Amino acid sequence: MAAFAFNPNDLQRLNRLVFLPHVRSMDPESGTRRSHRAGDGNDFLDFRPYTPGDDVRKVDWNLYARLRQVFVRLNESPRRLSVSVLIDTSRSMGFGAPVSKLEQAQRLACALGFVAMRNGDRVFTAAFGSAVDRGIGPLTGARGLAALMRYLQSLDAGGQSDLDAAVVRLRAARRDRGLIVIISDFLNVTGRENALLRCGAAGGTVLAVQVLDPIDRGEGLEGRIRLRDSETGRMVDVDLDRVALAEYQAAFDHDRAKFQTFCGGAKRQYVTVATRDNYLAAVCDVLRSKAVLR
Amino acid sequence: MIPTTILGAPVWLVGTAVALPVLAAFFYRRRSRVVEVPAVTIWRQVGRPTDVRSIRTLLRSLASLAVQLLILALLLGALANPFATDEQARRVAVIIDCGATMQTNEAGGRTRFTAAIEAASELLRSGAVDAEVHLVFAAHRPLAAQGGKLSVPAALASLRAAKALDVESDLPAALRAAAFLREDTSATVVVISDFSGSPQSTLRSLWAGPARLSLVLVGTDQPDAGVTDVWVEPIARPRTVDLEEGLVAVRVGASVCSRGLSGRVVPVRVVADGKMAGTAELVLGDDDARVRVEVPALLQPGSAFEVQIDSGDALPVDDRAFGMMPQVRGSVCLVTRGNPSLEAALRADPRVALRVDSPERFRDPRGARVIVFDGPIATSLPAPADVRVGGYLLIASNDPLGAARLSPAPAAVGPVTHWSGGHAVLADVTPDLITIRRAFDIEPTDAFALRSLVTAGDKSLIAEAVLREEPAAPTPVPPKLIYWTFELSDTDLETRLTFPVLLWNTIDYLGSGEESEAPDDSPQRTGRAFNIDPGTELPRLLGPDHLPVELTRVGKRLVARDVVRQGLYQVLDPSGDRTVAISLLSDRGTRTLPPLEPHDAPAEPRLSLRAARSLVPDGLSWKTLAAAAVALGLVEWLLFHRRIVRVG
Repeated sequence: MAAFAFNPNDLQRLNRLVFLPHVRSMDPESGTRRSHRAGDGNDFLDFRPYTPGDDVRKVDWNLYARLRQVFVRLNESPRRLSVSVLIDTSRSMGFGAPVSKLEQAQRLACALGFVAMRNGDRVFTAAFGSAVDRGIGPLTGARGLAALMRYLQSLDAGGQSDLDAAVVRLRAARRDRGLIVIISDFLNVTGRENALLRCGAAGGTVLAVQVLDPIDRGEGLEGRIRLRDSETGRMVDVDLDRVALAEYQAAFDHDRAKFQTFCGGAKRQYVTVATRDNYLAAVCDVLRSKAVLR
Repeated sequence: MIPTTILGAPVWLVGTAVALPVLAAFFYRRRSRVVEVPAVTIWRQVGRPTDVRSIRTLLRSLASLAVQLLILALLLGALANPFATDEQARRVAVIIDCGATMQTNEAGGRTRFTAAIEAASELLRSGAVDAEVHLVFAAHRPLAAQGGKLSVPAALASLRAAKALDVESDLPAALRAAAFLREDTSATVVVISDFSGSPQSTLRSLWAGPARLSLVLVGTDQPDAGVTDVWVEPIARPRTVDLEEGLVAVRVGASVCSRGLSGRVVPVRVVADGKMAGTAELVLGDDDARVRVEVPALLQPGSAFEVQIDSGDALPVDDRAFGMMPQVRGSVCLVTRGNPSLEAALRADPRVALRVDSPERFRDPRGARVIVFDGPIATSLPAPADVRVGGYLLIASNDPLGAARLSPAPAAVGPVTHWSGGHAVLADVTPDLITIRRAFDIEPTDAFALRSLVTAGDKSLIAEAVLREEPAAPTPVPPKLIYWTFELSDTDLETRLTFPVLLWNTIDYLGSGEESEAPDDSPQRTGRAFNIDPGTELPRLLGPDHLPVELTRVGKRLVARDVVRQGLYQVLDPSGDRTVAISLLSDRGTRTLPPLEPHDAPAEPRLSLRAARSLVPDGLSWKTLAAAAVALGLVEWLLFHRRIVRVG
């Protein structure tokens, strides 16, 4: 089980944060978020002329007395945001220092869940690693936070990541709406582009958070070594010197830039987080992304 | 023979020591450590991934290892230089030191010269059979072997006939004699010597050319002692000894240089005519220090003697020097009214019996070999033919013999302008350094003529009176007359060191009966002159080994050129046999002996005949091997290490 520690003192800072999602990302179900759409809410929105079939209880009789015309009061329809967090728990997420990529992903998921639940949104969390679990949710309120933390603390790195299966399961549960946050290193993820395309097809907003560690860029490696893939076990012998490492890092950066370009072209948002970064700052980056910023 | 590297270690040992780390590194690299990384997808995209355990990868690694070992072998081969024998010189000049120091005995009973001959023979046998050999013996001058350009067998035969000489070797001159090979890259010049006279660094500095110069050291510095100088001076006759007829009590002095024998007491003997004439003990000094020893001895005037030092034990102290007891100079009569400086100069030689008379008391010249008149004299002497006087030196004196007349008073004269440098009177004297302020005019009488020896313009300052015509009948040799037309007080002669030299040159000339010498008739360096009549038969000269020495006529002299043996020479002359002592090494005391430590430059580690060429297209050399190793290293790097990410 991956060590996961969430500092309660950080809750005060997270209290100031809030999701500002697009309306299209919100669920049609009633919630607490103002949506500027007419509905069954309590807050006044506008008037419109009466048409047959309207509920007569919504006729504003005071206005009729002044204008001798019948108008109907329109109230706002509060919506609710559904935040789905998919966490990669493959073996490659177990690398990293001072915290592993999985631990950083757990913190991010916990913080995002807290921010969402504090604003009355629903949170659904699932992990895809050696197997795609059923996940937990929907979670709301303070009790939801405790359940979310328990679930996150039960996660451990292992196996191969199967993002495609996780997305299929998400769609099968009809939870592919709202804000979908995929936290992964996106290494050894086969068909990650296709999975991302399918993930947002139902109207949800997809945010890909790539958690990376310096070892992913080859830092700390030197000499003549045999590299073993943590997930597939494949071997590669390399003779690393400064030039060779620079070439690999260039290729790595090119791959990351290519993935980012794909996300931008497919209307998927992309954020990268390093294990050495403060996760609160990473949460701010996530909240500032176009996926959640109106 | 196992080739060795320049470090002195065997090649196989160095090769093993270097190859083991290479092999260890190879296997270590084959067994590389495993590092688990999150993903290798991008690692596999960079480079050309292949299976680590594939045959191709294994062969590639083995090829890399083979190339590395080949580079190592080439470098070791370059260090060992195994192709030295393939680069044999086509022209060889062998310079062998045959100086006196080469006669030093070494361990095993061999002399240094014998070791040098053996080294040269081995050298020639190891070289090319058809090599062109130039054999030069470094004596007091370069002595080329007969025939000049020799074949190897002829050079070996010349080496067998060579002998060491009693002379100071001149190695730089011998090296200059081989300068015709300097620009020949296929030539080798080998100098075999003990380098006691010329250090190796000096010889190397003299050699600037592509031809290879090889200096071969023979012999090691051992404790030694040698007589460097010999002189003799008369002493007072000992009262307690009854001397035989003609014996003179003298003190024979010698300078002895020694090395490594500080404090050692060795006997010094003076031997004349095979008999011991005197003996003394000598305590040898520190290294490079000269010690003087004086041995009282009784010698015959004109006889040869020998100074021997011989420790009589196993120490190699054995040296001899030769000297001649000079003839007694005879008596000199000084007629003067008082001239202390002149009288002191005449008394400087204790072998001379000096009689001083005033002009008033001087009556009889008989008994004096040379008479010196200082100042005017009123006495008339008998005719020259009636007295047996060798000669007269007339210093500002009117001629009592009537050969020449002086002016009544001296006149001012200018500086010396001309002089007869070859005359015996002016030997070792530079007259123009003498300041003469006033001089008398001199006029010869009818029967005599004046030969000016020193003149100031047209005025004679030193002149000799000679008869105008040879006497018809054989008469006794007439006395010689030398005129100094100046008073000593009008010159600075008395304060000059040349004054005794000029005075005694004059007295020796007047008393010897010799005629003046022509300038081109001066003695040669190692020659010894014997006065003979032009028409008489040539004398025979026998060397110390009783072998005849060739005499050549130079002017009025007979000269034995290239005297290379020191010792006693016998002159077999119909008028009487004579003995001449030749000490060729008497001037070696002018320099210190070589230091006891080994020479500065190391000796050649291997004695071989190799030309100086390098990186030549027709032969391999260590430079070629080194270049090949570097090229192979570059190829190996390009083939096996140029890939930045390499699999396998």
